[in-house]
Amino acid sequence: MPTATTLRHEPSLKRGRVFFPAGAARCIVRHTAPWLVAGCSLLVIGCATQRLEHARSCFATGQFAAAQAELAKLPKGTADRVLFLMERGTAAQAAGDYHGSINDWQEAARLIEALDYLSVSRSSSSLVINDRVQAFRGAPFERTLLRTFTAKSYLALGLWEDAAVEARNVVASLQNLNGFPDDAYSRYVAAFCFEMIGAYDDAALEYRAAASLVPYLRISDRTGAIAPAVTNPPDSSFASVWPAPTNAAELVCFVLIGCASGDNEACACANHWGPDPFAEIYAENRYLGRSYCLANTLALRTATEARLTAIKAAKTAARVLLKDAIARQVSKEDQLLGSLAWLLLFSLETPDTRRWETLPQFLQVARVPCPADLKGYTIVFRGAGGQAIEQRVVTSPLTRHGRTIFSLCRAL
Amino acid sequence: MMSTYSLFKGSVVLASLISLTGCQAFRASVVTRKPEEARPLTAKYDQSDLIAWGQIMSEAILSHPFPPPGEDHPILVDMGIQNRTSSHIDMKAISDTITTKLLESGKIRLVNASRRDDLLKEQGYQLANCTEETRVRIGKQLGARYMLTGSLVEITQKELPQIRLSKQEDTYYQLTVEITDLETGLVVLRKQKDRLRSARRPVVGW
Repeated sequence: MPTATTLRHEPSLKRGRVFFPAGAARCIVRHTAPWLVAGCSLLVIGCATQRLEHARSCFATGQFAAAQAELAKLPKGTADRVLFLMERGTAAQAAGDYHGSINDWQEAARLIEALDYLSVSRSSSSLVINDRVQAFRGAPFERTLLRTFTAKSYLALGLWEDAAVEARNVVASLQNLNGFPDDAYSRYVAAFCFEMIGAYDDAALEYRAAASLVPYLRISDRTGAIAPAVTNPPDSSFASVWPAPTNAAELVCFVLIGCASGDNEACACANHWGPDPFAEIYAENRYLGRSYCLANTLALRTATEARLTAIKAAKTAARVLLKDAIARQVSKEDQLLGSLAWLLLFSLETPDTRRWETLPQFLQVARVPCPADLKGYTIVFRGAGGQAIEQRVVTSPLTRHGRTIFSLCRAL
Repeated sequence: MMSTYSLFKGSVVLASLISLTGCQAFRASVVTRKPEEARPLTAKYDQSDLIAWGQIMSEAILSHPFPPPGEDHPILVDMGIQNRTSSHIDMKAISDTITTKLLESGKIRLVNASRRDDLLKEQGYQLANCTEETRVRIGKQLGARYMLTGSLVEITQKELPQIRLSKQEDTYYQLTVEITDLETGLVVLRKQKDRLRSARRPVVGW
């Protein structure tokens, strides 16, 4: 027990300074620091994740409004804000709240742009804690789909020029991919938006680009019509003139099937949709046509992760080495504190699995002739073997532009 | 290891500095400024573009000369300016700014095309409900002779990813406004104005 005499002669104490027992400070630091660090880290990760998971559960069971409400309050920091906005926007669009989805996704796009810099504080924190402290900006294909889905919300509202603005952003985001996967569905949506404002040259460019990405399909660059690839010369189902005869109408339905919450494609096959679902469109008891798959978000994610594997592995290795070095350094001062530090630092070593999970897995398009006075249609979702899995009647959205009727439909 | 006394002294100095600065940095403030004097914050479209384009374009149209000599106060209809950019810009605001300046010159008259439905609704109401001496006469709307249209195009260039401390983005806008004779279909005038703005952003931040 230090006495007054020994304390007076303590080298760190000089005349005039505030008296404080030398060992007390060290004791306080020893006992509280690990908990403070742990508490802060948990705050960074914990509360927001719970609400997000609950919202996703609501979404998966079709409770879109509940999912929206769960995410009404955005997290305070910027780490997960973009992810919240992406998920909330999806719930809004599924619930038919197109304005809400546009607001959320545009805010997300604005934040992604604002967060496009290397944050010194977050990068250094991520070297000590984990990658989850970095601000989530989405994978490149998620950032592209953000714009694509926003364009579809504008199309649902009949705001063709605004949809074309988003289409231009889609095209811009698909330039300079740097090894990340291209996306035929987004290109097709962009082409459709250009077609709606009469920019046929731009539309043709994007239809051709989409066609080059899906060799199992043929997409007409003049009409956007889709058909299975054939080895024989030209398919007569494609219109030879632009535009088509005035007494015919055309329904363009963007069909979204499944949920991209699986870890990989193999996992997704185990769900009730199977590997290759599609949708059939009926109106007035007549078969109009079927949808074709232009993109699979799980495949896009797999390709993205393959591209990032080396970078992530190097960063994880560097972080592990640094944590080990910190724990060893602390151990030199205090063995117990060093052990605590080691335990804490390595318990925080978790991979960053943040992703836009409410994205649909299968992104499909059905472009079929239809009655000019179409008021609704029946859509039958089928598995790869042709078995009917789900059926519903769609009366909204059905947005008309000339002889083209736009619609979208999602099955979970 | 820093002593507790040093920490305490440092905290007192820091708190004093903050107090002496009058807490200006922590105080909310609201200031009214002239819109044309505001410094641009990004390379994208902002209120200074709206004001400048409205002024420059209307002056260019009136000095064309428009209206043609011999035509007394021709009637114009604003059919809107097309947005061909990658930003959601309020194009109605741009065309409203231009047509307001044209109207203020006193040389043209403008029909309210965007409110046609409201006009018809009010006329229908008056016909059904208002007294004969107060209601407007139906079928007396004036037809426009000229149509104002246009487009706004954007070209953005960004520096390619390289190792550097900041990156530059150049944004070029070109506004085209044309007036078309509704009778002959001829474009009687077309004016173009453009602007280029460069913005540099750091790639490293706190």
